[in-house]
Amino acid sequence: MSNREPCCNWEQLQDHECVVLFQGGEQAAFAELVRRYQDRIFRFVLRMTDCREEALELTQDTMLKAFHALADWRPDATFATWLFCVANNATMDRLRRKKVVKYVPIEEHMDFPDPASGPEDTMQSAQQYRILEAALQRVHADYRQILLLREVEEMTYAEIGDVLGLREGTVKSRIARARQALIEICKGKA
Amino acid sequence: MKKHCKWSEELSSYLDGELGASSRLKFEAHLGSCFNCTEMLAQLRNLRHCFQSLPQQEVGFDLAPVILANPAHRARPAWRPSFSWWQMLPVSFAAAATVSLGVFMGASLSSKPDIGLVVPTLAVFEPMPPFDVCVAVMSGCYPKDNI
Ligand SMILES: [Zn+2]
Repeated sequence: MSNREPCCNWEQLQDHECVVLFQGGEQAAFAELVRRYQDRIFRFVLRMTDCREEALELTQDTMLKAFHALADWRPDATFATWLFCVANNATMDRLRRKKVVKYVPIEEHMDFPDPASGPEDTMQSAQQYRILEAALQRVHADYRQILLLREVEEMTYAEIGDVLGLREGTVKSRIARARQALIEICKGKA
Repeated sequence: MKKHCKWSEELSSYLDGELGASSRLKFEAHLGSCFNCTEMLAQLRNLRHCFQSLPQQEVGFDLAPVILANPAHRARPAWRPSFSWWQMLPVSFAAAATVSLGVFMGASLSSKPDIGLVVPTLAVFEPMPPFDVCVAVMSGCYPKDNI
């Protein structure tokens, strides 16, 4: 790996600038991209698989695939959506191979927060994210992935369409259905 | 979304800021008079807050040196295509199939000889190469090692 001398302010570079530098042979530029995205990709995969070891392995696989594929990459989409696309494909392949549907029970008293109370009252406890994490593992993988991209990664519908290879209209309707399904599970109605 | 009114499909897009300007204004006007949409929107907002409260797990170490030092890079440089034995399987099957077909056709011919078939006698080639080639070899146009 080369040192950082050719460009001392890696943090100031845009993703696509790092990609161009890497395509020119600067491996440190790829290292910068890995540092930027490793935790985001890891969290996405972890919530998809619910297994830390598997998530770590898939994150490494994603970065390795990116390393080899970036040479021919052209910026039709952003680097972030492309990388999430690579990660999502690897993760869905893994889930399909396993064909294991986890059943994560949700305790009855963990009802979905009452919308009448304010977010400050309802969202501060650790219990709420445990409800959500359990519910996420029970919702269909297609719903889980699209909700994570929207709610955690805060991607636009167009970006989600790029990651999942869907039209914006499909993204819109799938997100609406996914939210409804998740709320039903959180409420103990599904 | 459950269809409790004609706007229920749009709730999710409204929350995400993905409604067009005119649709957004109409929906906001509708919200003031529709209890169901107001309640549903509050639930969607709560769900969003829940997502934001999820713990931020981390890899815990710098993955970059691991990726860059991965043996896969040395074993498979970017400029050289890699071949595995399983990638040769289709070629092997095709070759085996061709040989089998040839043996089968040959066996078919020899097992049922056509008595009326007249097989022309092949002429025996001269053991010596044509004159032009001999001249070329002797004059040094072709290195003898290559012949
Ligand atoms: Zn309404």
